[in-house]
Amino acid sequence: MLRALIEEPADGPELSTPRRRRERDKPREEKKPRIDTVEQLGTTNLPDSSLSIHCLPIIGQIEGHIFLPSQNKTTKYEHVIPQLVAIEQNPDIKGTLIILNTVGGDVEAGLCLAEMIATMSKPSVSLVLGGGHSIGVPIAVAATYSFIASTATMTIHPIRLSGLVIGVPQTYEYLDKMQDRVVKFVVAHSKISEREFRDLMFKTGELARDIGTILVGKDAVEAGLIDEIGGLSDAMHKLKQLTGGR
Amino acid sequence: MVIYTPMPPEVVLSQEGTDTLEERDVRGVRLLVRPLPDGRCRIERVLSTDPLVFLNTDFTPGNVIIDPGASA
Repeated sequence: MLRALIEEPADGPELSTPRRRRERDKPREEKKPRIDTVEQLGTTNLPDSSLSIHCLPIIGQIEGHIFLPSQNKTTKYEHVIPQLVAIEQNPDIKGTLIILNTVGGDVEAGLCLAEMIATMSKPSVSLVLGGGHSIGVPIAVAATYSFIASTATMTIHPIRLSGLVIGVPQTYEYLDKMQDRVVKFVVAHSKISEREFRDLMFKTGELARDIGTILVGKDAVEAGLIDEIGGLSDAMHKLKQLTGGR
Repeated sequence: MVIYTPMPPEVVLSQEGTDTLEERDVRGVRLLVRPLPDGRCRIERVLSTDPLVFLNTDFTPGNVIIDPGASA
């Protein structure tokens, strides 16, 4: 049944894993109970214990109200929201590791995810690897505890409108309010002050095409945005600590 | 929609490439797949937070699912 559903990779059977070869050589009767597990539980050949820490990667552009053109790699909020609800409800899951390597994206989708992560009852640890830019910043600080890799960067810059902009004072006010929502969330969930964050946001001379700041690893920690510099083992250790070693 | 990103808008919003990916449930796992002309589909991404799903080689991106509707 399993073999009927999944075909070998296009490169041919010589690339098949040793596990698959073993499986193929086994007599049929022996395979039966395992196949029942495959059908009923959706698991194969893996340890029976389920993992208590789930991993939520937030990658590429964060996609919200509108589909982005397909050349973008996106994290869609309609995928992440039910996953967060499932994590919150499943008693076997004790905590979440949020891996961020995002270039930002839709403001409202990003804030929505950040609010959901911040209001979960289960502990979460975020780990910024590569980059956590723009709307990735509120998501990173939303977790119970945040880590950044020493080589990772976070870009803080103002929200702008591009394309056709109606030049009326209301447009500016609308953007300003949108920006306030981001700033207030970041200030409320990290150790940075509103003034410091706005200073970083409007700094000139750092970015080639824009105003703002790029914080590399240690800078983000020193600014109070992120709690600590670390990697996977640090993040897992912290999560185990927060979940009481479960 | 307001996009907040350091990437230039012309890069984010350029309409190059017409990729069509679909979401399918295969044995309880949500997958992002690319439909093939013969009705099968190739796994592009696994949409799950369970790290164990990613260790299951059946769900390795690039694998072809013969009958994605069989156990949806």
